[in-house]
Amino acid sequence: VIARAAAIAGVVLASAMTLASQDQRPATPPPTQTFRSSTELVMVDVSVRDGGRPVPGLTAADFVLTDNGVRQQIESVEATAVPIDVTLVIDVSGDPHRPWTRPAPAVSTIAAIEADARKVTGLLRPDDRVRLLAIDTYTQQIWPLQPVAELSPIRSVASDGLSALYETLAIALLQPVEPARRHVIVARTKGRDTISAIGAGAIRDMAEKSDALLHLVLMEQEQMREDTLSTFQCQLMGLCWPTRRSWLPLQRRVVAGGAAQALSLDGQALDAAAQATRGDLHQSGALTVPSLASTFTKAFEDFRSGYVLRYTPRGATRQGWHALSVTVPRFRNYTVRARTGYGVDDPLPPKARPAVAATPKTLAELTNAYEQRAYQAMAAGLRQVTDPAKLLQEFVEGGNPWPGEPHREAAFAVELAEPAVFSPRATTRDAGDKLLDRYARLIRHPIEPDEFERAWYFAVMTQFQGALRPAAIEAFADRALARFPGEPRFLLAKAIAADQRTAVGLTGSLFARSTVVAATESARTQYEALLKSPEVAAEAHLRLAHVLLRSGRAADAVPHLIDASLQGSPDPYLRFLQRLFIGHVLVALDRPEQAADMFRAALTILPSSHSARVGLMNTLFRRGDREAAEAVAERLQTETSRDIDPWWMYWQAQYRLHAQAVAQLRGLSR
Amino acid sequence: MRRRIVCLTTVVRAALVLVLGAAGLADLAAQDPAPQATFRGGVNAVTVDVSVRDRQRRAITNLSATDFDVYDNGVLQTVDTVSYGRLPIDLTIALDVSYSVSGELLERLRRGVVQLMGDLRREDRLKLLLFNMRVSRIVDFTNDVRVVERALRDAKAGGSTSLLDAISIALVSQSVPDRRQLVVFFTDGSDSISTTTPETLRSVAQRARATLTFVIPSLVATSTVVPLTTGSASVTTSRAFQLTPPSPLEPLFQTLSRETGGSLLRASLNSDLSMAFRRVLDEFRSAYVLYYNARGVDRGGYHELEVKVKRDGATVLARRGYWN
Repeated sequence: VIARAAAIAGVVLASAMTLASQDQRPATPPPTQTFRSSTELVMVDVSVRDGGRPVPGLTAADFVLTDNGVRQQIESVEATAVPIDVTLVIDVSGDPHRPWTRPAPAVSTIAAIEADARKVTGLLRPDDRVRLLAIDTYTQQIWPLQPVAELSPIRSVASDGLSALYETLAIALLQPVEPARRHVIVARTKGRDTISAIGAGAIRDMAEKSDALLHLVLMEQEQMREDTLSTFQCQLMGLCWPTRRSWLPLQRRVVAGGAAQALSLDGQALDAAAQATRGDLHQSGALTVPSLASTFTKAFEDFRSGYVLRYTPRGATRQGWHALSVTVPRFRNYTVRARTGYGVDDPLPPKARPAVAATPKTLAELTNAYEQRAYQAMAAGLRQVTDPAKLLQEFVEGGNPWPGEPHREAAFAVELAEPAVFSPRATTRDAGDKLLDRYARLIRHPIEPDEFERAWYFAVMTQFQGALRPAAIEAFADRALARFPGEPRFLLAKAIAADQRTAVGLTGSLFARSTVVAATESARTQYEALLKSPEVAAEAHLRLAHVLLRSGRAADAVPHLIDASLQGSPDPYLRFLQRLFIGHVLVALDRPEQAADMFRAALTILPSSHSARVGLMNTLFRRGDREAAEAVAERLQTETSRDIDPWWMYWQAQYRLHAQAVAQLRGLSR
Repeated sequence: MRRRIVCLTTVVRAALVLVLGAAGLADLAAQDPAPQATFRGGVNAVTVDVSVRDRQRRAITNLSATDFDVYDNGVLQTVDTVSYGRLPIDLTIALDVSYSVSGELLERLRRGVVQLMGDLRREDRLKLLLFNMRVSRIVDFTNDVRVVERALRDAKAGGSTSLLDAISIALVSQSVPDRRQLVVFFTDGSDSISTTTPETLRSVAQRARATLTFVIPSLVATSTVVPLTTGSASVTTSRAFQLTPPSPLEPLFQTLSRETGGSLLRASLNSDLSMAFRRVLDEFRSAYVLYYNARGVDRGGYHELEVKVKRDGATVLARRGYWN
């Protein structure tokens, strides 16, 4: 209805967060639909039929449109040749009473689903796009939104037994739509919801404000077959619930039952939802169940033969519900269908913000500093937190400081967790880990991993690298790789974690010798596997070279240190370490003159570098150039510099990128 | 083998050209400055600090040149002169102020160093180095106790440890001829971030003029490894004290102190650290300085030294050698 320049991703994600945390199942209110319109243009889909046939050729002058009773100036009328986005929804949920009868869908079932979906896509134009969602315990996105020509075969569909019908419909309705496209949803459901945190009423509310055209297809007969089978198995075979689940989920049915198959209250709400979008709710006949394709064909004809009226609302209050009326006065026998209205939420009153404390320490002060982007003050305050675990407990108990902005909360959590993650106290570290573990679950987009989740994991892993916490790095890297298979940065984090087990320094590792030996080998092989990943190859070469150098294989390290990817690296950290390590390799190969030159080359990148100066000093002294060595020693003792030597950060690895990663998270979360 | 060396040379040259070329320093790679040899105490003159003690670790003080046999690369030398306790001392105290040495221990260190100043003679001087991952000379050679007190008041602990780097810097530091050099390292023996390897440090110690002694406390703070950079993290939680296990670097410390004629001292649990420092200074002061002109040996390279005393039951402590 509203032509929105701004996406409503935030609202979608608010809903998504609710879905992702289904294992916790807090009682959450229905998501609030919000219209964030930067333009006031309103578009209304209108179907005009003469008897059963669509009426073509109407113009703006033929229509009368009122918005809250005020007649509006129609700026344009388009026959709906605009490209459309189709969201198909299938139901793969099972009967929670009979989990043993719900193995993963068979290949034949998947093939049937795909065949039905492809019948729909066969009706679409090349510039149309399609998305396929599946209803189950979680909402699955089988096909992300994509042009019909690029659809890949469906390889698998998971089935867990429960049904998140309402949440899946909410996700479909809340998908952002580009202004120049229309959105059609055809959802085929068994008519049962057993797990959603929202109700059918919320779907109706969302539909009233959605741009989408919603058609629902009820498969009562399939549901009845399952119920019959359940009874048979239980009463005659003794296979009664429960077997696996320890609780009986609440069942909400769309059809009340009985011979008439009347709609329940939930069913009526869903029917109202479909009607509000100008769509319909289609029930099974006595012997037939409408298919996706047949339903879509019906909706498609109606949709393609309709009109889109555009106008800029005038004379009506912007906020609140807008009742719409569309008529064609010249042809009173025509049937005109259009949505009944749309809503615009009241803007929230601006909050008075307290001033940022110079050194915020309490959760309220830290939250306020974060909100006002006083990040330096926040970092200064975090440095002085004396009980990081208590701070995190307050944070968890206090809930999201920014309701409706889960990403912002998750990004803030990473920064808040830092004192705990770095704490020397194990119990405090555990508190930090638990908090991040919680958000790793909460940030999961229910349909498919997104950029925020990727950036969030990267920020967390750089933080653990800074704290020299290889076990934690590995745990989070494994989870991140499950979400983003093959992501080179996460694979590098795993390799670094193995490498850190060989740390720290000359007084030996924190780990047992056998662990160190195994970790060295593991790090070496993992770095080698990353040499062909352009994104991380430079660092993998460098770290592999250092592993070889430490293992007494200086000559083998040379090719990795002169690799071209390092030459072109924009990262001065890597370029510095490259020169430093070549210097050490040359020392090991008994080439003091060239080693000294290489340490000097490192000093051209960071003139105050302690490590390069020490390397140079030792080399000069050992080759007999005492005077020059003394001069370097003098500078080492007397020159003060706040520069961080990249070598000092070597074991902390990509913690050098943490500030950047956190900044990216902040950007993505707003 | 020869083939491998040739290949290696090619690879190393390629590395140099690539990296130096990229840095605009390719001309440096072509230079081949001749090493500048330096000689200890003149053309062939060699000075050796020698501490001689009886079975009760008391200094034996009445020895003359003829009581010593000095072997330079196995060749007996003629000791020209001997001096005892006459040369002024330049004492370098290097204190570990990393995260692992902080709190009460750091305070005791401050007191110990200030009291040590009282044991110095007028002509002696003290230099103070603090090290964690950096090395800072907070006081250059002085005998002004107020300067030292002031500097120590401001010392703060934190960070990781570059112990071997710090030792190397202290040993390489410029030394004034005709003054005896003693470097005392106070450390818990942990090192997390040095770029100097033990092999390199042994080589540096062999070439250094100073005598190196270690004082290792038997009580230090224990914690998890604390990285250098902790972002906005706080490290203010309390810590427990416990007996320090022997550092894996202790064998290296023993080697280094032997090479340079120094010693390794473990400061006991509750002892006054100033006592440990005083003992180190007394032992160093009560030493002979032998002078001889090396004869019958090649000038260049490493000279292995052996010093013997013609007294029954005497223990001799001297450096193991020197480089020309």
